Amino acid sequence: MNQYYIGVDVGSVSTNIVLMDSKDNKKLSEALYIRTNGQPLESLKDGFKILKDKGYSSEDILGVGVTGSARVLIGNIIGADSIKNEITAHAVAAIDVCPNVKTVIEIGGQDSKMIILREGVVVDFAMNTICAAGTGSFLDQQAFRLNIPIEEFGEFALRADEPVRIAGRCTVFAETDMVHKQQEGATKEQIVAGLCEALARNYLNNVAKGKSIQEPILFQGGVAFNKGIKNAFEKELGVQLVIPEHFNVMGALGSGILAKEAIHETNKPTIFKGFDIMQKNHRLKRVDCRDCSNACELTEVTVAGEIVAKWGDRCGKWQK
Amino acid sequence: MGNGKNNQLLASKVIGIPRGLSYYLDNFSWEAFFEILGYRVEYSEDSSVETFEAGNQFVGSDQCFPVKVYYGHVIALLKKTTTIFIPQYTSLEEGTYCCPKVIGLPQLIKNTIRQEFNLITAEIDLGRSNFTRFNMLLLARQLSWNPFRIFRAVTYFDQNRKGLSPEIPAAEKVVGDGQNQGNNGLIGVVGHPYALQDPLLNMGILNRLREYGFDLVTSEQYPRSGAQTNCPVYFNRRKPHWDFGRNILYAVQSMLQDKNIQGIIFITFFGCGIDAFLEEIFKDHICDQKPYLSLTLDEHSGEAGLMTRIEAFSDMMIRKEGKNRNAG
Repeated sequence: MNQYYIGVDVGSVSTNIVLMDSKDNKKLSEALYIRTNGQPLESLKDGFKILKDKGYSSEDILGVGVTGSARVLIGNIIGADSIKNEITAHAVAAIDVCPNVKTVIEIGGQDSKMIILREGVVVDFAMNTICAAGTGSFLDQQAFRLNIPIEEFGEFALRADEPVRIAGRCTVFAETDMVHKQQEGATKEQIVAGLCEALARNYLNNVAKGKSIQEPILFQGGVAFNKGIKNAFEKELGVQLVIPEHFNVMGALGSGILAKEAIHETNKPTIFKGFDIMQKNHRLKRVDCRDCSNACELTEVTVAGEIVAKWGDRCGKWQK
Repeated sequence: MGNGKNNQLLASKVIGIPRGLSYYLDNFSWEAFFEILGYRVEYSEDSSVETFEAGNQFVGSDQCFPVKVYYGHVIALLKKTTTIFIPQYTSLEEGTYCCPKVIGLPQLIKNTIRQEFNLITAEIDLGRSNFTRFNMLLLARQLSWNPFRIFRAVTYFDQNRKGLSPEIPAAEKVVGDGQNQGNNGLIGVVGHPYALQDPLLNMGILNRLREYGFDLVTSEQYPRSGAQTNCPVYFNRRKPHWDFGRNILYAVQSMLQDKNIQGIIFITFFGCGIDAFLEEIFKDHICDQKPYLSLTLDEHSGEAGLMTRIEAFSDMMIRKEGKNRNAG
């Protein structure tokens, strides 16, 4: 009987779940990529249901790791052995896939990251700051506007002979610019290619500013699917980008590996509550704490009528 | 103005000082100064979300978060007293200037808060000592008719506010081999004094870092000017125009030299013009020497993004140490 580690990455755009073989990190029995659609709990529920229906049993799970923007919420509900941030998870996965990796470019739904590694250790990283311009959500939106399925976005970009120049600093300006270029008679292909270049430029100017980008470079995250972006990066940097096999679930893969590490380190059995936990009735509630003048907004999670977690406080008293 | 004829003031005898921005800059005790003149000083309470919300309605959207919170402090004080003192710092040193928002603070406040109140201020330009002394004299004359008290107050100011200390404060000497380092090592946190001291503004970062097992040394523990001998001119550039940023710049230079400091975190606020310059310098110079993290904060109360960055920074340092240990 095979045993597995589960890695979950609950992001703003997609929820990814991987089932990693306990003996071999590289062997993924399952890699699910589910759209979050603003409802992390629902998407995870779907994911767990798929796994259960495929015949995996909760007893075979040795450990669970969670990452992504909703990691605390999900981790508390399902009982995760490791709750780690996306940067660490992505870096760990990248090192596992390519031990001598020096640069990781990760572009996800709402944030983009750059991780600089030397000899298998993260030495520097950067994330986009306040604005989400040039991330997956932005591309999604523009694909919708241009009426192109996001899956074909990259193909469109590659077909363009000469991309038009589009302002990439701000989504609002980029949209304005696109409309103007359309009116000037640019084709969809040219605009899409222009957008890809704008995104790559924006990333390199903001996130990657001042970093020494050395090969090998891994390009991961959902946006890596887009060949247009890969092309634009390669053109701008003058080097080849490596896209790992599981580029779109690297965060989940990393958190699976981190769960494995955590279990090995503590030598304790997993605290995973089983696939069924998600099928139970869980409710999220916003509550205002009125204990002091900070009036923090708390999130309260109830599973089957029982409060399992509460957080969002500045003082930390509800988190315990 | 003049000769203690300010009746409104004399009636209340209580002067409110908002705790924000330049308050944290002061190593001078205004409380003692006003006491000589026969007044009691009332400070505003710790910043809270309420403070911020009270202030936010008066402020234009282009102001930075610390200024918005400052407004809140003024509003809170106006419930207790009708007299507010806001020193107008224009320069801390000859040839450099304070942040424009700090320079214009008294006028900003006076013209945007509609409530009727008494605002007293004095321009303080530490590069021009006679000018500043004269301003202090005018301030004291507004508050008292007694020439002895006025003289004593101005003398007190003169003696206790002699520019910035050229000495290295004792705190800096703590940094070194002897310091009791947290499990995960020592990191430098740099930022403007209010960013480091007000937990509402910095979202409690300093405590979070301690929870992660780090020991901290902040830019406040570093000398300001005149200590170039201590910090070589690392970045090889002219004096910055803004003296609010100098402290940070010098602190970072010293931190880069200090082998005990394993990483540097820069706390800055969205829209800060001074920090924008500093950030560019740091990006060029720190990144390849020490782990460096720049946190841009604003009024967002969601902590997810912030925690992700701090956690990643902490993981980065811990995993690096772990690797070094395993290798050695």
